[in-house]
Amino acid sequence: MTQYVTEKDVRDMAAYARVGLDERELVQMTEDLNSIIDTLQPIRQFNLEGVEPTFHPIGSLSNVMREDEEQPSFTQDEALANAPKQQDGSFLIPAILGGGDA
Amino acid sequence: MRKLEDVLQDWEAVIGLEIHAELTTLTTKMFCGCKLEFGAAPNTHTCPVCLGLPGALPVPNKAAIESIVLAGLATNCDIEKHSMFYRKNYMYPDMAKNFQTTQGPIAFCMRGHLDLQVDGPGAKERIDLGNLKPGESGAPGTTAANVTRTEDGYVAHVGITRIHMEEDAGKMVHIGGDEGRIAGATHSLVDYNRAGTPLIELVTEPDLRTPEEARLFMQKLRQIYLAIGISDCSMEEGSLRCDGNVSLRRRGSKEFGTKTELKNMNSFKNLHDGLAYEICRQAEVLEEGGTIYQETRHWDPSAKRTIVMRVKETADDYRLFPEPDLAPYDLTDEFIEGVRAKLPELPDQKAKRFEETWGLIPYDARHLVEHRATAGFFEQAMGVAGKDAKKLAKPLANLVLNDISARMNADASFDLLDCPLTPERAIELVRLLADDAISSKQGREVLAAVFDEDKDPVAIVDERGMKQVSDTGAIEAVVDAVIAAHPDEVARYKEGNAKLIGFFVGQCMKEMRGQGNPKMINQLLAKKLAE
Repeated sequence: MTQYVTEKDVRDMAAYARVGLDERELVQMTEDLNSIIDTLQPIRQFNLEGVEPTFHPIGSLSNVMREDEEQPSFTQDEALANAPKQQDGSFLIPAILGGGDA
Repeated sequence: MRKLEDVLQDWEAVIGLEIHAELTTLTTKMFCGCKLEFGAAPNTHTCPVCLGLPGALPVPNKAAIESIVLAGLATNCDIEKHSMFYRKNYMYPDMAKNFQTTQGPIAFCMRGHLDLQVDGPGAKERIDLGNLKPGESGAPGTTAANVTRTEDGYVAHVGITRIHMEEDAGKMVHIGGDEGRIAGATHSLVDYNRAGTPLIELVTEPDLRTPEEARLFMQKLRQIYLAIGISDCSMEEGSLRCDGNVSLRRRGSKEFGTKTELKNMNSFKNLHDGLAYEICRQAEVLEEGGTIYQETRHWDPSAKRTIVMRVKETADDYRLFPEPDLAPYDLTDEFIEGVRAKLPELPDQKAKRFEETWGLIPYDARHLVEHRATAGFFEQAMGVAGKDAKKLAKPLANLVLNDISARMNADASFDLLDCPLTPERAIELVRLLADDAISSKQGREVLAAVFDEDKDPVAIVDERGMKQVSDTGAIEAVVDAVIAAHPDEVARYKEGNAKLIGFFVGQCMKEMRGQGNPKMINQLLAKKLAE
């Protein structure tokens, strides 16, 4: 099968997307991605010059909007229910700059 | 470091602004029905959409789309019927879903402009107007090509690249570092109430050339946004925020220099002073043979300098792609015209009307419309002025722009539309001044008394026996007596000591216990002494 993306490409993408892959998963993911891209190859036989990409799966849909009316929100407890740590009604998160060494 | 005026002689500053406004006058967020409220308890206005929970689907707020179209129409933009939302991907805890929903290459509003009237001391920052006469514009291809000279300054034509729709991020508080700084913090607290607040970002062309122009652009945009009612535009609370891009090039050079991005200019003064500092700093670096790095700098108003926040080594890769959860837009003519129908009178149009209706000079008209309160008050007062409104317009404008504006600037809680000085009383006071019944000095005393005692100006004048003597016969008698009593001074005056006129005016005023009309005394003295 043609190699469209290398293991290095996949490792970079995973790092970008903050997805943790071990070596076995990396090999598998590279194989899967190449297979997916290969499946999509036939589309290249069409001349798509000047054709607007299909941005949305439901082609005819547009101008979807709602009125500016308030809906119930989570309570503070509900909002924080999944937070590993919380303090004073806020999500408590680790130091952003890694231990304070700017 | 050299002064701005000196630096701008050698260097041309190229400035562009990015201005974010939160649509605070709406009820709910951009993509969900959570309530917009500044200062609420943390995380009390959130839902699956603005917390980025898996499977949650956003639905755009129609009123927000109307607001941005309104902003576009008010700033002379083309409204793009076909546009869509994009995901701007970034990993940072202030946005739980790891992307900001924003717009791509096509925004709702494109290719707008605003004209800035620049006058007063700030107009002197612009040094490339040369010998342009009022009404003349700079020749095409020159640095003054977008500028037209006026009697008391110039008009700068400033392009707007686009206004796009996006959403605000949550708020973070950093704990454990110095003064809440992120550096040195041991942990941070996140509040997502603000996440998903409708935000419009306006980007200008790099058409601004001085810090004063940047300040005036921001001020004008704020007036427009307030007039169309889309935001409370509070720079303190951060609902109106401004970043500046600035670079320098040698006078005469066509190539752009390396730019820096400036943050934290959260007042008009900070915007001006931050840019002025950065221009001078860059000039110093370049003149010493140094290099300007493309970096983000933070304006520190207390230290009066900019400091590096981060160096941009590569352009951020936000992997912008169309948001598959939101359908594209094909705005109809009906929608756009419906919004256009809601467009109120804009500040420029109001100023023009003030000029045409009451014969005000452009300077007065423009400054009156700077605040909705002063414009509204002026208009109400003119409404009760009756048939001599035109005559009273100029003195009323002076009263509002000098005395009342000073009061407003000194006291933020002062409400002109709810204070002892009603429009009726203002007209009464202005009429006393216009009729020379009281002097301008007495006018200020009466104004202070109106505020302190909550009485009508005429009553105050009567009580205090302030009426100014404007009877020509009475004044002439005093003038004659004073001249007759001081033959030596008269002789010296006639020998060319013109300053002595002040002495004669003083003597006359003393005779009349301060109640003589100084303008008439002056005129009569000048006439009699010339005989």
